[in-house]
Amino acid sequence: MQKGLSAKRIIKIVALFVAVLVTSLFLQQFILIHYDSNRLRLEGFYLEEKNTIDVGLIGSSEVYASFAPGMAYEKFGFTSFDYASASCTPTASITQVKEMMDQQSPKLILMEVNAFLYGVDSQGVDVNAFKDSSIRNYIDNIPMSDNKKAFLDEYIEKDQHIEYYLPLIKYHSAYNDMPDSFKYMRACFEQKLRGNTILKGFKTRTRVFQPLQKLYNKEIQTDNKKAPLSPTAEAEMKKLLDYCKKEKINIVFFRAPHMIDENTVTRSERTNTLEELITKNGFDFYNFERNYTKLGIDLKNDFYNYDHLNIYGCEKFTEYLGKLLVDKYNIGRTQLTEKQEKKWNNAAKSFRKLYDYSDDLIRHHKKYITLEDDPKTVEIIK
Amino acid sequence: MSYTSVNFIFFVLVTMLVYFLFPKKNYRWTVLLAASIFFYLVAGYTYAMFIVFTAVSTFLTGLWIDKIARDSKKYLKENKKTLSRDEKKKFKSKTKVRKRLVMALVLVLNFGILAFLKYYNFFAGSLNDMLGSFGMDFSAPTLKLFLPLGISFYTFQSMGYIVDVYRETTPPEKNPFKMLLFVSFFPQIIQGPISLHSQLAHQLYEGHEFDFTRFKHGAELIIWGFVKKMVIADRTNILITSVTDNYGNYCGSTLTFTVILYSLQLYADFSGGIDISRGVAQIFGIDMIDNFRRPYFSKSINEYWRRWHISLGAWLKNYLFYPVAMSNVFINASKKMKNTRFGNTAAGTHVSKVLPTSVASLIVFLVVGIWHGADWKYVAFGVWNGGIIMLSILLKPIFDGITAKLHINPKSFGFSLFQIFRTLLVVLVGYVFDIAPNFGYAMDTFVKFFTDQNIPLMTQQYAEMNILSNKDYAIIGIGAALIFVVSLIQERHPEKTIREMIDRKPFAVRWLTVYAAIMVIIIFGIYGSGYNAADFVYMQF
Repeated sequence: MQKGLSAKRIIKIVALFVAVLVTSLFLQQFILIHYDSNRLRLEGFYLEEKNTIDVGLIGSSEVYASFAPGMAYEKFGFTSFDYASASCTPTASITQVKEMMDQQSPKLILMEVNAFLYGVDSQGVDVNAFKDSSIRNYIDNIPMSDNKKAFLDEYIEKDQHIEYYLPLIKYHSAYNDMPDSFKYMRACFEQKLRGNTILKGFKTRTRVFQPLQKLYNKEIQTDNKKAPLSPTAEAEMKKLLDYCKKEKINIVFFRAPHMIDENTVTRSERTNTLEELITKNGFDFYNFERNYTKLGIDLKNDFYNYDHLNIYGCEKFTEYLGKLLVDKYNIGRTQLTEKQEKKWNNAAKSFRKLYDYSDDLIRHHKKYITLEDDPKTVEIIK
Repeated sequence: MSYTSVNFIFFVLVTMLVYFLFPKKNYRWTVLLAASIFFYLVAGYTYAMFIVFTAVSTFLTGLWIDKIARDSKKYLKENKKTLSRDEKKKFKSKTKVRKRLVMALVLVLNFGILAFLKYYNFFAGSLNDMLGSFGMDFSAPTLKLFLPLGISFYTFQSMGYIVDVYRETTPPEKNPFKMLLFVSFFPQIIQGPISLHSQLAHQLYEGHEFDFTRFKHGAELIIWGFVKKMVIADRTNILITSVTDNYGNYCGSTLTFTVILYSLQLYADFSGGIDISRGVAQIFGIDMIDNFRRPYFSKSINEYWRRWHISLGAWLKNYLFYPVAMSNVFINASKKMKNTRFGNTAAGTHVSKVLPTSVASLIVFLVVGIWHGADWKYVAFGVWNGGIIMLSILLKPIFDGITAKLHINPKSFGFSLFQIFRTLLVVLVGYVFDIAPNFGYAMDTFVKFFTDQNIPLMTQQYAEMNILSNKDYAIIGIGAALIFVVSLIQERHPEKTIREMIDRKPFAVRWLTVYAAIMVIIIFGIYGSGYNAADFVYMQF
């Protein structure tokens, strides 16, 4: 038997190597992924036609629970997208802004500031800024780009970069999520086939939340106390403000309405600190947590949990914010092609159906479920 | 650099490329030496002085012993006619003493380093406890000591070489760099096998040509090692660690199941690591000895230790068991017993005959126990195994008598199966000392085995751990079944390897088998930040 490497043997080895590589890449791209709501929303954002979004909303879960792009389009005629991930970190904010600008260059960016309001633990470490799951909720679900690379270089240890370039290393055990993840897997595939999202990142849950603890929302309306931001949050906000000034980015900051209990009073005091920092730098800031009554938010009816508005709260919030954007920031009805207009009209119609369906579940069936761009919801609202 | 890391695969590929492209065939061993030094330095350069010391002291002592032997032979040859028989005998004996002294010096030095680094704190702690119990106010300080990578393995291997040179069964190494390679060869530095100089050294120094079949078989062995280590052992380890971290909280059934899982984990981990080591060496044209021969199919604990960690067993047999069993003390004790009244009975004849081997076995296993770690639980582990072996030797006539009286055919399948289960039970009891945090917990475990068996509670406790999914349990089960089937095939056809059997299959089957095995590692392996991959269990020794 010939001992050396013949051409035939080399071909066999290379074929094996290629087969393993192709299979691995296929699995990494389509199967062994951590499919969840964040992935569905962020993937959806990159399916939107470039430069067709007028207002980009950025931040954490408060964004996609509070603002309904479909309703905003129906009422005010501008297009928008909830480009947000659950428990977003302050370190991701600049990347979110850059990605939004690169993909859509919207007329205005609206940033919800929850990411900057987490405190520090007993060791003085920011409780959320370096939390792996919070980082990954966003960064793992956006495509590789210069912005993503810059994020990795700045915030992720060098020896861990490989996991972001080859997510299979991290997520090869995603088979453990199956079959629960099939819902999102299917939703992502269908969304890709459709070529756009229906709810434009919006997500809600069907409940009217009744808190058991005492709420402090009234008290904080007049509370001007300022609690310190975490060092990371403060540094990242300053960096973001400098960046936005330098790049002349039209950005407005806001705090979404929340139910405030004794545990979150300090958080609202941090909002005061943050407001001062932002406004001192010449940017607008709206504290809807403090001024929730202006929006007509009813604490007894408009939340599905402490931190998120339900469909009724969302309707009020979208109405108020939409009007503000039109009146104060001149965000008018956008120019769309016929095809684009059809899609957005469909988004508006779908949101209306979703609203009715959600209302029905809350009022008549007391059924607590999640509604988003998943196949079941899409089936109902399309 | 872990054997299961991507870095290690690249490291092996680069070493392989340089080795086989190195123009001077006779000097290809220098590539292996450079790679071994690099591998060791990457693990931690502070360790390096210890391995260098061992290599240098072993090299010089080998030469020294050889010089004494050569000088002695020369002297005897030159004075063949002038020396009387008695003078020659006396001179030979003097030479032997000198050689022995030199050998003892290097053995004490090297085993002394190992013992100090590994056991100092254990002895200091035990001494403090003992003196404290007598009310003496003395405290031996505990030191922050680190254990250099592979110190047990390279010390045993080097000292084996010294004894071989002393016994003149192996020639001394003349090249210090070749000695350094023998001591530090990277595929075996983490967990062995402990090779004989006569078996390994010449293979290291020969310049091997690339051989596709060896490459293929080596790669297949590495892949199989990865499957055992990354898919089965490390997954099982997650569960075992979860129990051992809160050992006292679990019922007898949970601990029983954990010990059974540990038997799977330990075998998959250690044999998987050895397969990777042997596979890498095989690619370079070097055949390292197999450290395992389906140990769980053993019919006696004695056989088990001939099939488990074979190289350590062989080392202890060569360099400890025989010297002890054949020592004058033991031979004389045996003779003395033979001359007593008891010695004249049938039982006495048997006992006096097997006394040296049985006591030597106990001593060997005490060493095995202590080698496993500096803790009383490991001493107990040694006593348990050595004690069982000692008793089985001493009581063999009684067992044989019972078997005969019950008309049991010792070669029947049923009896073989009984022997396998009996041995497995003894092995599992020994493993309790391994997984229990200390000797006291090990004793508690035995009590719980009999008093706290509760299957529903076990199910609940495993469910509460919530660290492995049902799919993970299924993977462990399938993995165990796979190892069993492979072992069964190997047991039935020991003359050929599974790889040789695969070779005879059509190309598509061979190709798909390797492809499937790689994909199994990629998908089901424990690696990445989603998991905490475990170090090789035997790396700590």
